[in-house]
Amino acid sequence: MNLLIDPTSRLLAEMIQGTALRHRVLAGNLANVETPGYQAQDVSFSVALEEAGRVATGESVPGRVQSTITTDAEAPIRRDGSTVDLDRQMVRLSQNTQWHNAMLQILASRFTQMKAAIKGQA
Amino acid sequence: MDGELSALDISASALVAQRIRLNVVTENLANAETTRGPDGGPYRRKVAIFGAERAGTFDQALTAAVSTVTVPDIQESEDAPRAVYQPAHPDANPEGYVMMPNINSVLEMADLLAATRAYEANVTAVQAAKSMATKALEIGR
Repeated sequence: MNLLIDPTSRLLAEMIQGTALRHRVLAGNLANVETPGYQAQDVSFSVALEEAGRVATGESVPGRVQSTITTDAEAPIRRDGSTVDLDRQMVRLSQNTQWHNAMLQILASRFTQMKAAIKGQA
Repeated sequence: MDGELSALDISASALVAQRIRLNVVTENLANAETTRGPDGGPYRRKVAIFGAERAGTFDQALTAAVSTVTVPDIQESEDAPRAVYQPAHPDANPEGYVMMPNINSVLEMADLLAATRAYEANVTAVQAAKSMATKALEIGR
């Protein structure tokens, strides 16, 4: 990732790592759908603006992505103590996959544009 | 997809666990009428116990929070066998009762369906991981 010198590509790359982590967490929930007492987890993302001062001038400043693994304390508990809801986890998995693939697509097209610019093509 | 435990490892552990459970349920159903088990008495219902297993060492805070699933034990049920009155049966006791395994086919079938559903859900997770990895290969192509 050292070649990604511009902040937007770095932001994309960090979000992609975040969604990859979220996939692993959701896969862990699905793997433990029948494990008694298992607490379902999720990953939440927050983007921190790097320099708050530059926001005032109107420049858009892509920040750094923070991924945090969270446990939902209010999730409904099944009889065996597990909080994994299969349908909800499947929906999240699907959304996360689409989001991940969409950002990969954007990153790929950025590289295509960079290559075209380097070659001098319109 | 870095880290010691990949998404595919997690989903694979689930597929293995559900298959073990499937085998246990099938064994229960096959032995619903077995009066002579390995220890001489009626067959005892088996139950697969599921447990979550934390991955990674604790200095890797993010990877340590993700779990695989394992089947640490297959326990034999302590439920009392059913007594069925069949004096002509070779395994009948002096009062004419045969001790049959306490297996409820309906419960076992429900377990079978749950195992199948969990298996399919984890196969979907594997497909998602594969599509994400394939997509990543398209960067810079």
